[in-house]
Amino acid sequence: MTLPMVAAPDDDLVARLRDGDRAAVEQAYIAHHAAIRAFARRLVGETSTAEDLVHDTFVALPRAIRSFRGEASLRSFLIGVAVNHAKRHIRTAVRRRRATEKLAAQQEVLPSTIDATDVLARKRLADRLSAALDELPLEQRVVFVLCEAEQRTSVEVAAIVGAPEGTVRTRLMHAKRKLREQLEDVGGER
Amino acid sequence: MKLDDHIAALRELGDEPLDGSSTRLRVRRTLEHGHGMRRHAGVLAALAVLLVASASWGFATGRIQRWFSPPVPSPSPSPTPAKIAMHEPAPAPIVEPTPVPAPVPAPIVVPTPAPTPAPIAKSPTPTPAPTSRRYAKAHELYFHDANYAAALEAFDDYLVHEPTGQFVAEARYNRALCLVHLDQLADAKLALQPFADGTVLAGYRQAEAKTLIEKIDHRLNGTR
Repeated sequence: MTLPMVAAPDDDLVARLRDGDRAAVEQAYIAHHAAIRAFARRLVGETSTAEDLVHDTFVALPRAIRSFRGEASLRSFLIGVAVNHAKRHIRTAVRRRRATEKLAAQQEVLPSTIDATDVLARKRLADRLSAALDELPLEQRVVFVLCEAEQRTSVEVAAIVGAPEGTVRTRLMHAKRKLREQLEDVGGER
Repeated sequence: MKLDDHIAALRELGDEPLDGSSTRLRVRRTLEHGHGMRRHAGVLAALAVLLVASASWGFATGRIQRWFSPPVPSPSPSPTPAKIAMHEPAPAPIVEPTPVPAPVPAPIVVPTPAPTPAPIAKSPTPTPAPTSRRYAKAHELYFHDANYAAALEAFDDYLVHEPTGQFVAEARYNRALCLVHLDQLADAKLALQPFADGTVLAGYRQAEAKTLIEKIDHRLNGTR
Protein backbone atom coordinates (compact mmCIF):
# COMPACT_ATOMS: atom_id res chain seq x y z
CA MET A 1 0.00 0.00 0.00
CA THR A 2 1.46 3.32 -1.00
CA LEU A 3 0.64 6.35 1.07
CA PRO A 4 -0.98 8.89 -1.20
CA MET A 5 0.90 12.07 -1.87
CA VAL A 6 -1.34 14.96 -0.99
CA ALA A 7 -2.66 16.54 -4.10
CA ALA A 8 -4.85 18.99 -2.27
CA PRO A 9 -4.14 22.62 -3.00
CA ASP A 10 -1.59 23.56 -0.34
CA ASP A 11 -0.87 26.98 -1.79
CA ASP A 12 -3.31 28.90 0.34
CA LEU A 13 -2.26 27.04 3.46
CA VAL A 14 1.41 27.59 2.70
CA ALA A 15 0.80 31.28 2.13
CA ARG A 16 -0.97 31.57 5.47
CA LEU A 17 1.81 29.65 7.19
CA ARG A 18 4.32 32.05 5.69
CA ASP A 19 2.26 34.94 7.05
CA GLY A 20 2.60 33.48 10.52
CA ASP A 21 -1.05 32.51 10.82
CA ARG A 22 -1.24 30.16 13.77
CA ALA A 23 -4.61 28.81 12.69
CA ALA A 24 -2.84 27.61 9.56
CA VAL A 25 -0.55 25.45 11.69
CA GLU A 26 -3.65 23.85 13.21
CA GLN A 27 -5.06 23.28 9.76
CA ALA A 28 -1.81 21.71 8.62
CA TYR A 29 -1.84 19.53 11.71
CA ILE A 30 -5.38 18.31 11.04
CA ALA A 31 -4.55 17.57 7.42
CA HIS A 32 -1.19 15.86 7.89
CA HIS A 33 -0.69 14.70 11.45
CA ALA A 34 -1.72 11.12 10.74
CA ALA A 35 0.89 10.73 8.01
CA ILE A 36 3.60 12.39 10.07
CA ARG A 37 2.70 10.29 13.09
CA ALA A 38 2.79 7.06 11.06
CA PHE A 39 6.22 7.96 9.73
CA ALA A 40 7.43 8.94 13.20
CA ARG A 41 6.16 5.68 14.70
CA ARG A 42 7.95 3.65 12.06
CA LEU A 43 11.10 5.68 12.31
CA VAL A 44 11.55 5.74 16.08
CA GLY A 45 9.57 2.58 16.84
CA GLU A 46 7.93 3.96 19.92
CA THR A 47 4.66 5.77 20.51
CA SER A 48 5.54 8.47 23.05
CA THR A 49 8.78 9.49 21.33
CA ALA A 50 6.94 9.54 18.03
CA GLU A 51 4.42 11.95 19.54
CA ASP A 52 7.30 14.18 20.60
CA LEU A 53 8.62 14.13 17.06
CA VAL A 54 5.19 15.03 15.67
CA HIS A 55 5.01 17.88 18.16
CA ASP A 56 8.44 19.22 17.21
CA THR A 57 7.66 18.95 13.52
CA PHE A 58 4.56 21.14 13.72
CA VAL A 59 6.14 23.55 16.16
CA ALA A 60 9.01 23.99 13.71
CA LEU A 61 6.66 24.44 10.78
CA PRO A 62 6.12 28.24 10.95
CA ARG A 63 9.86 28.79 10.73
CA ALA A 64 10.65 25.91 8.40
CA ILE A 65 8.01 26.94 5.86
CA ARG A 66 10.30 29.79 4.74
CA SER A 67 12.44 27.22 2.99
CA PHE A 68 9.50 25.52 1.29
CA ARG A 69 9.91 25.90 -2.48
CA GLY A 70 6.76 24.07 -3.52
CA GLU A 71 8.70 21.40 -5.40
CA ALA A 72 7.12 18.67 -3.30
CA SER A 73 3.83 18.45 -1.45
CA LEU A 74 3.44 20.04 1.96
CA ARG A 75 3.18 16.55 3.44
CA SER A 76 6.54 15.51 1.97
CA PHE A 77 7.98 18.76 3.21
CA LEU A 78 6.64 18.03 6.70
CA ILE A 79 8.23 14.60 6.63
CA GLY A 80 11.49 16.30 5.72
CA VAL A 81 11.06 18.57 8.75
CA ALA A 82 10.44 15.50 10.88
CA VAL A 83 13.59 13.88 9.51
CA ASN A 84 15.57 16.97 10.48
CA HIS A 85 14.27 16.72 14.03
CA ALA A 86 14.50 12.95 14.30
CA LYS A 87 18.04 12.49 15.53
CA ARG A 88 17.42 13.48 19.14
CA HIS A 89 14.19 11.49 19.32
CA ILE A 90 15.78 8.40 17.89
CA ARG A 91 18.46 8.60 20.56
CA THR A 92 15.76 8.82 23.21
CA ALA A 93 13.88 5.89 21.74
CA VAL A 94 17.05 3.80 21.52
CA ARG A 95 17.80 4.42 25.20
CA ARG A 96 14.28 3.44 26.20
CA ARG A 97 14.31 0.39 23.99
CA ARG A 98 17.59 -0.82 25.42
CA ALA A 99 16.32 -0.35 28.94
CA THR A 100 13.13 -2.28 28.24
CA GLU A 101 15.06 -4.95 26.35
CA LYS A 102 17.09 -5.60 29.47
CA LEU A 103 13.94 -5.88 31.49
CA ALA A 104 12.32 -8.11 28.87
CA ALA A 105 15.36 -10.39 28.83
CA GLN A 106 15.03 -10.85 32.58
CA GLN A 107 11.30 -11.56 32.29
CA GLU A 108 11.70 -14.06 29.46
CA VAL A 109 13.24 -16.45 31.91
CA LEU A 110 9.70 -16.94 33.14
CA PRO A 111 7.64 -19.23 30.87
CA SER A 112 4.41 -17.34 31.48
CA THR A 113 5.37 -14.49 29.13
CA ILE A 114 4.74 -16.53 25.95
CA ASP A 115 1.81 -15.10 24.04
CA ALA A 116 0.79 -16.64 20.81
CA THR A 117 -1.64 -13.98 19.63
CA ASP A 118 -0.96 -12.69 16.17
CA VAL A 119 -0.99 -9.05 17.20
CA LEU A 120 1.66 -9.51 19.82
CA ALA A 121 3.77 -11.59 17.50
CA ARG A 122 3.71 -8.88 14.87
CA LYS A 123 4.45 -6.28 17.52
CA ARG A 124 7.51 -8.29 18.46
CA LEU A 125 8.63 -8.42 14.86
CA ALA A 126 8.27 -4.66 14.58
CA ASP A 127 10.17 -4.17 17.83
CA ARG A 128 12.92 -6.43 16.62
CA LEU A 129 13.24 -4.45 13.41
CA SER A 130 13.26 -1.18 15.37
CA ALA A 131 16.05 -2.53 17.54
CA ALA A 132 17.96 -3.52 14.42
CA LEU A 133 17.38 -0.07 12.93
CA ASP A 134 19.02 1.39 16.04
CA GLU A 135 22.31 0.01 14.77
CA LEU A 136 22.08 1.87 11.44
CA PRO A 137 23.31 5.36 10.70
CA LEU A 138 20.46 7.88 10.75
CA GLU A 139 20.56 8.46 6.97
CA GLN A 140 20.19 4.76 6.20
CA ARG A 141 17.46 4.37 8.79
CA VAL A 142 15.43 7.24 7.36
CA VAL A 143 15.77 5.99 3.80
CA PHE A 144 14.85 2.44 4.82
CA VAL A 145 11.70 3.56 6.65
CA LEU A 146 10.64 5.87 3.84
CA CYS A 147 11.29 3.36 1.08
CA GLU A 148 10.32 0.09 2.70
CA ALA A 149 7.85 0.85 5.47
CA GLU A 150 6.23 3.83 3.76
CA GLN A 151 6.77 2.45 0.26
CA ARG A 152 7.76 5.73 -1.26
CA THR A 153 9.64 5.94 -4.52
CA SER A 154 13.30 6.77 -4.49
CA VAL A 155 12.48 10.03 -6.29
CA GLU A 156 10.16 11.08 -3.48
CA VAL A 157 12.61 10.02 -0.82
CA ALA A 158 15.39 11.91 -2.55
CA ALA A 159 13.24 15.05 -2.41
CA ILE A 160 12.43 14.52 1.25
CA VAL A 161 15.97 13.89 2.46
CA GLY A 162 17.57 16.30 0.01
CA ALA A 163 19.96 13.75 -1.46
CA PRO A 164 20.43 12.44 -5.02
CA GLU A 165 18.33 9.47 -6.01
CA GLY A 166 21.41 7.30 -6.45
CA THR A 167 22.49 8.07 -2.90
CA VAL A 168 19.06 7.06 -1.65
CA ARG A 169 19.31 3.72 -3.44
CA THR A 170 22.78 3.10 -2.07
CA ARG A 171 21.69 3.91 1.46
CA LEU A 172 18.73 1.59 1.10
CA MET A 173 20.90 -1.23 -0.18
CA HIS A 174 23.34 -0.91 2.72
CA ALA A 175 20.51 -0.66 5.22
CA LYS A 176 18.82 -3.80 3.96
CA ARG A 177 22.04 -5.78 3.92
CA LYS A 178 22.85 -4.82 7.51
CA LEU A 179 19.32 -5.49 8.69
CA ARG A 180 19.28 -8.94 7.10
CA GLU A 181 22.51 -9.78 8.86
CA GLN A 182 21.23 -8.57 12.20
CA LEU A 183 17.79 -10.12 11.99
CA GLU A 184 19.18 -13.46 10.85
CA ASP A 185 21.52 -13.40 13.83
CA VAL A 186 18.68 -12.65 16.18
CA GLY A 187 16.46 -15.21 14.52
CA GLY A 188 19.14 -17.86 14.80
CA GLU A 189 19.45 -17.30 18.49
CA ARG A 190 15.79 -17.69 19.20
CA MET B 1 11.70 -14.75 9.78
CA LYS B 2 12.45 -12.79 6.64
CA LEU B 3 13.16 -9.10 6.54
CA ASP B 4 9.91 -8.61 4.61
CA ASP B 5 7.91 -9.98 7.53
CA HIS B 6 9.56 -7.52 9.85
CA ILE B 7 8.90 -4.69 7.43
CA ALA B 8 5.24 -5.63 7.19
CA ALA B 9 5.02 -5.57 10.96
CA LEU B 10 6.72 -2.17 11.09
CA ARG B 11 4.31 -0.87 8.47
CA GLU B 12 1.38 -1.93 10.62
CA LEU B 13 2.90 -0.16 13.56
CA GLY B 14 2.39 3.15 11.80
CA ASP B 15 -1.15 2.27 10.81
CA GLU B 16 -2.36 2.11 14.40
CA PRO B 17 -5.08 4.73 14.75
CA LEU B 18 -4.31 7.56 17.11
CA ASP B 19 -6.37 10.73 17.28
CA GLY B 20 -3.42 12.96 18.11
CA SER B 21 -5.57 15.52 19.92
CA SER B 22 -3.23 15.74 22.91
CA THR B 23 -0.25 16.44 20.66
CA ARG B 24 -2.32 19.01 18.79
CA LEU B 25 -2.98 20.77 22.09
CA ARG B 26 0.72 20.59 22.95
CA VAL B 27 1.66 22.11 19.62
CA ARG B 28 -0.80 24.95 20.15
CA ARG B 29 0.50 25.66 23.65
CA THR B 30 4.12 25.53 22.58
CA LEU B 31 3.49 27.96 19.75
CA GLU B 32 1.65 30.36 22.07
CA HIS B 33 4.40 30.08 24.65
CA GLY B 34 7.04 30.45 21.96
CA HIS B 35 5.37 33.63 20.77
CA GLY B 36 5.61 35.06 24.28
CA MET B 37 9.22 33.95 24.54
CA ARG B 38 10.05 35.67 21.27
CA ARG B 39 8.51 38.87 22.61
CA HIS B 40 10.67 38.59 25.74
CA ALA B 41 13.68 37.82 23.59
CA GLY B 42 13.02 41.05 21.68
CA VAL B 43 13.03 43.07 24.88
CA LEU B 44 16.18 41.31 26.09
CA ALA B 45 17.87 41.94 22.76
CA ALA B 46 17.01 45.64 23.00
CA LEU B 47 18.45 45.76 26.52
CA ALA B 48 21.58 43.98 25.35
CA VAL B 49 22.04 46.50 22.56
CA LEU B 50 21.60 49.31 25.08
CA LEU B 51 24.16 47.74 27.38
CA VAL B 52 26.69 47.30 24.60
CA ALA B 53 26.14 50.88 23.44
CA SER B 54 26.58 52.19 26.99
CA ALA B 55 29.74 50.17 27.49
CA SER B 56 31.13 51.41 24.18
CA TRP B 57 30.33 54.96 25.14
CA GLY B 58 31.94 54.41 28.53
CA PHE B 59 35.12 53.09 26.95
CA ALA B 60 35.18 55.77 24.29
CA THR B 61 34.88 58.53 26.86
CA GLY B 62 37.28 56.88 29.29
CA ARG B 63 34.78 56.68 32.13
CA ILE B 64 34.96 52.94 32.48
CA GLN B 65 38.76 52.90 32.53
CA ARG B 66 38.66 55.58 35.22
CA TRP B 67 36.36 53.48 37.35
CA PHE B 68 38.66 50.50 37.24
CA SER B 69 42.03 52.18 37.52
CA PRO B 70 43.50 54.20 40.37
CA PRO B 71 43.59 57.95 39.84
CA VAL B 72 46.70 59.04 38.09
CA PRO B 73 48.07 62.42 38.97
CA SER B 74 47.74 64.34 35.81
CA PRO B 75 50.02 66.95 34.55
CA SER B 76 48.31 70.19 35.33
CA PRO B 77 47.57 72.26 32.33
CA SER B 78 48.66 75.33 34.19
CA PRO B 79 50.03 76.02 37.60
CA THR B 80 47.70 77.28 40.22
CA PRO B 81 48.07 80.99 40.60
CA ALA B 82 50.02 82.12 43.55
CA LYS B 83 47.19 82.89 45.86
CA ILE B 84 48.24 79.93 47.97
CA ALA B 85 51.77 78.68 48.13
CA MET B 86 52.46 75.34 46.57
CA HIS B 87 54.83 72.45 47.29
CA GLU B 88 56.49 73.88 50.35
CA PRO B 89 57.32 71.78 53.34
CA ALA B 90 55.08 72.15 56.33
CA PRO B 91 56.33 75.13 58.23
CA ALA B 92 56.51 77.51 55.31
CA PRO B 93 54.23 80.50 55.65
CA ILE B 94 51.18 80.91 53.51
CA VAL B 95 51.40 83.55 50.91
CA GLU B 96 47.95 84.97 50.74
CA PRO B 97 46.60 88.35 49.87
CA THR B 98 43.95 88.10 52.52
CA PRO B 99 44.79 88.65 56.15
CA VAL B 100 45.71 85.49 57.92
CA PRO B 101 44.60 84.79 61.48
CA ALA B 102 47.19 85.39 64.12
CA PRO B 103 48.39 81.87 64.77
CA VAL B 104 50.38 80.96 61.73
CA PRO B 105 48.48 78.24 59.97
CA ALA B 106 50.07 75.43 58.14
CA PRO B 107 50.26 76.05 54.46
CA ILE B 108 47.50 74.69 52.36
CA VAL B 109 49.03 73.24 49.31
CA VAL B 110 46.45 73.17 46.65
CA PRO B 111 47.26 70.06 44.70
CA THR B 112 47.07 69.61 41.06
CA PRO B 113 43.56 70.27 39.92
CA ALA B 114 41.48 67.46 38.65
CA PRO B 115 42.55 66.16 35.32
CA THR B 116 40.47 67.36 32.57
CA PRO B 117 39.67 64.96 29.87
CA ALA B 118 42.05 66.77 27.54
CA PRO B 119 42.40 70.46 27.29
CA ILE B 120 38.92 70.73 26.05
CA ALA B 121 38.92 74.10 24.40
CA LYS B 122 42.30 73.66 22.75
CA SER B 123 42.41 69.99 22.09
CA PRO B 124 43.68 68.73 18.80
CA THR B 125 41.32 65.85 19.30
CA PRO B 126 37.79 66.03 17.99
CA THR B 127 35.61 68.95 18.95
CA PRO B 128 34.31 68.67 22.48
CA ALA B 129 30.84 67.33 22.78
CA PRO B 130 28.15 69.92 23.45
CA THR B 131 27.66 68.39 26.88
CA SER B 132 31.17 69.48 27.93
CA ARG B 133 30.91 73.14 26.85
CA ARG B 134 29.97 74.29 30.33
CA TYR B 135 32.85 72.34 31.77
CA ALA B 136 35.18 73.84 29.18
CA LYS B 137 34.12 77.31 30.24
CA ALA B 138 34.73 76.52 33.92
CA HIS B 139 38.04 74.97 33.06
CA GLU B 140 39.07 78.08 31.17
CA LEU B 141 38.08 80.33 34.04
CA TYR B 142 40.00 78.24 36.54
CA PHE B 143 43.18 77.47 34.67
CA HIS B 144 43.65 80.36 32.33
CA ASP B 145 41.88 83.27 33.98
CA ALA B 146 42.52 82.17 37.57
CA ASN B 147 39.15 83.66 38.27
CA TYR B 148 38.13 81.30 41.05
CA ALA B 149 34.86 83.00 41.88
CA ALA B 150 33.74 82.82 38.27
CA ALA B 151 35.13 79.32 37.93
CA LEU B 152 33.18 78.27 41.02
CA GLU B 153 30.00 79.58 39.47
CA ALA B 154 30.82 77.90 36.21
CA PHE B 155 31.50 74.53 37.83
CA ASP B 156 28.23 74.88 39.77
CA ASP B 157 26.48 75.72 36.54
CA TYR B 158 27.92 72.61 34.93
CA LEU B 159 26.91 70.42 37.87
CA VAL B 160 23.38 71.83 37.92
CA HIS B 161 22.79 71.47 34.21
CA GLU B 162 24.69 68.27 33.63
CA PRO B 163 24.40 66.34 36.87
CA THR B 164 25.20 63.10 35.10
CA GLY B 165 27.73 64.63 32.76
CA GLN B 166 31.03 63.16 31.77
CA PHE B 167 33.14 65.41 34.04
CA VAL B 168 31.04 65.52 37.18
CA ALA B 169 33.78 64.14 39.41
CA GLU B 170 36.36 66.55 38.02
CA ALA B 171 33.96 69.47 38.33
CA ARG B 172 33.20 68.62 41.94
CA TYR B 173 36.87 68.34 42.80
CA ASN B 174 37.83 71.54 40.98
CA ARG B 175 34.91 73.31 42.61
CA ALA B 176 36.33 72.32 45.99
CA LEU B 177 39.70 73.72 44.96
CA CYS B 178 37.99 76.96 43.96
CA LEU B 179 36.58 77.15 47.47
CA VAL B 180 40.07 76.65 48.89
CA HIS B 181 41.36 79.43 46.68
CA LEU B 182 38.50 81.63 47.79
CA ASP B 183 39.36 80.76 51.37
CA GLN B 184 35.93 79.31 52.00
CA LEU B 185 37.58 76.53 53.90
CA ALA B 186 34.56 75.10 55.73
CA ASP B 187 32.71 74.73 52.44
CA ALA B 188 35.83 73.42 50.80
CA LYS B 189 36.14 70.77 53.48
CA LEU B 190 32.54 69.74 53.00
CA ALA B 191 33.09 69.53 49.25
CA LEU B 192 36.27 67.50 49.64
CA GLN B 193 34.95 65.08 52.23
CA PRO B 194 33.31 62.64 49.77
CA PHE B 195 36.60 62.45 47.87
CA ALA B 196 38.53 61.83 51.09
CA ASP B 197 36.00 59.15 52.02
CA GLY B 198 36.62 57.46 48.71
CA THR B 199 32.98 57.58 47.70
CA VAL B 200 33.57 59.43 44.45
CA LEU B 201 34.42 57.12 41.57
CA ALA B 202 35.84 54.53 43.93
CA GLY B 203 38.66 56.59 45.41
CA TYR B 204 39.09 59.34 42.86
CA ARG B 205 41.66 61.90 44.23
CA GLN B 206 41.21 60.37 47.66
CA ALA B 207 44.74 60.82 48.97
CA GLU B 208 44.95 64.44 47.83
CA ALA B 209 41.56 65.25 49.29
CA LYS B 210 42.62 63.77 52.62
CA THR B 211 45.77 65.86 52.66
CA LEU B 212 43.82 68.98 51.81
CA ILE B 213 41.28 68.33 54.54
CA GLU B 214 44.05 67.83 57.07
CA LYS B 215 45.52 71.15 56.11
CA ILE B 216 42.13 72.86 56.16
CA ASP B 217 41.53 71.42 59.64
CA HIS B 218 44.91 72.70 60.64
CA ARG B 219 44.03 76.13 59.39
CA LEU B 220 40.56 76.15 60.90
CA ASN B 221 41.77 74.95 64.26
CA GLY B 222 44.79 77.18 64.39
CA THR B 223 48.42 76.22 64.54
CA ARG B 224 49.35 73.14 66.49
